[in-house]
Amino acid sequence: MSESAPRPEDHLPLPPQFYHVLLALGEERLHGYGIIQAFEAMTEGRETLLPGSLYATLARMVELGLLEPAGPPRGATSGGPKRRYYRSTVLGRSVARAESARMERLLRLARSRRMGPDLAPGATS
Amino acid sequence: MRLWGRGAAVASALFRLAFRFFPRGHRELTEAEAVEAFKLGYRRRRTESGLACAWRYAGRSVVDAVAAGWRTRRRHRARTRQPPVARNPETGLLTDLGGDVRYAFRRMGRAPAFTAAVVLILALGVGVNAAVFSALKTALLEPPPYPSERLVFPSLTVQRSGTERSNWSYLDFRDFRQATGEAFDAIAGYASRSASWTAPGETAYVPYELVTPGYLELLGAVPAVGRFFVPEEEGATSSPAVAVLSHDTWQSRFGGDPSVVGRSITVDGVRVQVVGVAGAGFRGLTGEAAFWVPVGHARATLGSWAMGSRTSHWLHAVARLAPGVAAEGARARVAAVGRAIALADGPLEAGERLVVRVAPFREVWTNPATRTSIWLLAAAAGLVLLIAITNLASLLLARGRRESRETAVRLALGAGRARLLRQRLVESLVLALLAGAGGLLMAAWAAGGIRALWPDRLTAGAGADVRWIDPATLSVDLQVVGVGFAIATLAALVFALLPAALQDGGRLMTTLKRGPGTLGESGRRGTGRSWLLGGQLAFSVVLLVAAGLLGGTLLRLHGEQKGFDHEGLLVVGYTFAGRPANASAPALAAAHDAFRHRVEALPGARSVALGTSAPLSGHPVRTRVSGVVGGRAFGEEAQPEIGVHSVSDGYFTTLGIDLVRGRTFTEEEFRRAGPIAVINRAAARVLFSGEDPLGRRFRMGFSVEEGNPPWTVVGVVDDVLYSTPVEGVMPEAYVPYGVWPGQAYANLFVRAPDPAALLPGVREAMRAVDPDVPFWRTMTGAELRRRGVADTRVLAFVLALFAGLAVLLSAAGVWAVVAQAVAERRREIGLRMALGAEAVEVEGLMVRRGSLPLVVGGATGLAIAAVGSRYLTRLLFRTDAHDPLIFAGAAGVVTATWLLASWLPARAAARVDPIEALSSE
Repeated sequence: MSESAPRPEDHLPLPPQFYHVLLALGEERLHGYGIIQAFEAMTEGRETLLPGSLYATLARMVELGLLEPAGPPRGATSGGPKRRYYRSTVLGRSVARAESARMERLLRLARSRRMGPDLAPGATS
Repeated sequence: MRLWGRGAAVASALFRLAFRFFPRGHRELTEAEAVEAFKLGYRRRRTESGLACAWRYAGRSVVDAVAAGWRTRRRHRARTRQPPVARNPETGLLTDLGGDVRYAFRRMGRAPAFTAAVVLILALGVGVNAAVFSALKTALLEPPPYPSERLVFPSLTVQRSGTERSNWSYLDFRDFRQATGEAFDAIAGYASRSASWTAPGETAYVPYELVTPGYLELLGAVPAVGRFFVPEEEGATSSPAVAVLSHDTWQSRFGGDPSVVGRSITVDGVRVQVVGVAGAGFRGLTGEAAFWVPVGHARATLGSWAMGSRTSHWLHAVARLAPGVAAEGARARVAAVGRAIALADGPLEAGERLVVRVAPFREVWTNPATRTSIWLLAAAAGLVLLIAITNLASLLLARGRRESRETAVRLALGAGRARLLRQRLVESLVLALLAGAGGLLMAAWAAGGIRALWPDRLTAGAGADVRWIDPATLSVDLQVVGVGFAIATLAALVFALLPAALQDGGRLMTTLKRGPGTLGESGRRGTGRSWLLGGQLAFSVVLLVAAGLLGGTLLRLHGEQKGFDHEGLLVVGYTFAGRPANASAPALAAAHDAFRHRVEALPGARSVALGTSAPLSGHPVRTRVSGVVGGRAFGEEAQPEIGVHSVSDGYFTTLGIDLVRGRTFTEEEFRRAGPIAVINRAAARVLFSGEDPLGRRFRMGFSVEEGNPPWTVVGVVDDVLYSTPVEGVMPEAYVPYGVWPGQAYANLFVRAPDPAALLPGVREAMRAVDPDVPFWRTMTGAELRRRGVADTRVLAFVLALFAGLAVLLSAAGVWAVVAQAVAERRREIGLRMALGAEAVEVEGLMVRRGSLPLVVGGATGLAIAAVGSRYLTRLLFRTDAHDPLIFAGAAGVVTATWLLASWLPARAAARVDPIEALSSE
């Protein structure tokens, strides 16, 4: 099984949790709970990542080459259990971009079908 | 704060538990971190948004962890394990066997209940069969430890009103041997006896054989030490008398000392010189002789008449056909000679018939009753195996059907048919191997059970004089296990391969298109399974009837023994034969009395008595009644047989035999030799046909005591069974023990609250009278009673066990079939329910579904049982082989089992939610 260079499109559509993790990570290196915190902060607590599936997702994403394990950033405290840090790979980031583009296309489509977020029930317009 | 802490602990414990759904590798790597993250999340929500929010989070996290764990696990499995077909469909037939075996184990692991059921059913079938057929082999098929080809047992019988005596008198035997010399290579006479033996070691009561010289050689024995008998020793008037020891006796009594030749042993008080030892393993025709003495020894043990009479028949004959002489030719010769001998004393009387037989060895080696009971067990075990196999077939066919879609998919995807078949083959073999191992365990266990149940020894020969089997020799025969195993494996193969083989490519699409659980699917093959069940039920009925008949016999046998009170009774058998006490009649009487009085003096002994016979232990003395004075005269052909017992005072009270009429003997009558008798009910009925027997006189004759005065009846007592239960109660006469003052042999009966505890005292009492007299029997009344019915009890018990097993297996079969039908017809049932059918109707529908096989199977079973039970007649006692109650009971049990086994899944069917059933694919 020779693996030719994986293309970002091969990973689309991206499972939501993958997308969320990539969004939370950005260019930083974070451990699991850090990803949860970052994601919740970014979404103002409206969305969350649950710890059970998160670690399985992280392992899977490493396997697929979307993330890579990383050493702890300088100055990280080492209290509690040993934490593993992750950062997104180039592939990971381009997959996230491809997913965003896909979703943008979908959003445009939704608007054209009058299903855009601005027409959501309860929205005032 | 404490409460908060506890809530967090409970929540994280739950989370941790949920995390266990992840494969271990993943868990080890991430669990600590994930739990930490969970705790932090929980704590934040608890402080920021309250308890409800925190617990909502905990709940979602737990569900999420379970789901994610499940997904991960499935992904791992999919990655590491794929059926070999999918992985490399073009593999050749002879490669990747390991893969097939792994695949088989995986499939078995996926259906543990199915695997367990198949293995258990097969193991049961194989195990039970192996144990029973091992017993059968030991009892029937194992060749004797001596050359038996061309061995025959000639017998000369004067038949009179159905009874026959097939033994020879010594004089007749001698004439016969002389006259038929050319038909036989060799002829020998033998008789089995037991004697008190005084030799190095303790005094014991041992079985031995009285034989004519040549007997040992005829049976192929060779002396290990010394020599066998020479012809001159046959009459044994010469002194010293001689004996040959068995190898076992030589080893156990003399430590294998070769200088044993020339030493003396004392047999029933007669000194006998050892002249030789037989080779190892040889125990004579009876299979238990400790030593052999020439027939002349009978003068000392049986009486002086033994060697000079033509009317006392105590010798058996065994002969080897001469080369070139067919059994037929020998029979003709024996018939001619036998007739001449029988008629030498005068012509036959009216009603007498002379029967000359030359029984082939096989017939005598195993007696008919034993043969019947062992074949019965074998048949029962065979039926259990058949039921097990039909159950297995049913299970495997059902699975084949369930998997027809999977098979079709795999065929459609390009899997080779041969490949599929091979996988099924490997799987069946793996199953069969597991079952075989289980069967071996089960067989060992069952053989142990048979050993434990069997009476201390098992009669296998014809009559008391031929062959005993020591149940300790029963062991599981590997050959037998192998055969049972092969049959079961074959069955498993056939039924596992059949569905796969039948599935042809042309019907692939049909199978694929047909969803599971479509209407009308339970067609042809479902019906086939129902008929398999019908067969199982038939076998179950047959087994139940057999068990019922034997059970009925057992009940009646127990009922038959109520004639004496077995509770709190001790029986001790002994003989003064050959002891100093036997020197004169008064000395003998004094010795008996001394023993009895010592026992009477023991604390706990309520009453003590002596008698020549013990209930259920056979008749030492039988004779015929020739007529009643002033009443019926019996023709020669119709003289009733009567058992004669000489008893001491206290006999009836000690044994708890009820006096029905008249009286027993007075103290003085017991000592005096007056011709008075107490008879039992049966004798009163047979001799006096219901008239009052008291004061009447009758004549009973012994060959040696012609011309005795008639016996006067003074009392009538209840019936007691003395001989085998199958023979039943006979007319009996009790006479005072003073009648035969020379009786050396006796049973001592003691009634005591704890009979077994009294035994040491009784031994002590005998030691005080004569330290060298051994007890040849020590038993409590309860043991006596058990022994009398031991064979029947074992048989009834094992049959009941088999019948129970059969019913259980068929119930499981019924349950499985109906449950499957319910599963297959879920949609139909849902539809019916949706259209307004009541639960009861649905239950009825599912139960009724299999009623035709039940009726046909049950009827077939009853018919088979009705035909077959005739062959059991000789094992039955006062039980009609066609007892309608037993037949009805068997049918009832099977019907009830069927109804219950099909109602349970049917009830589940009626609880189906119509919506759910209809929407399920």
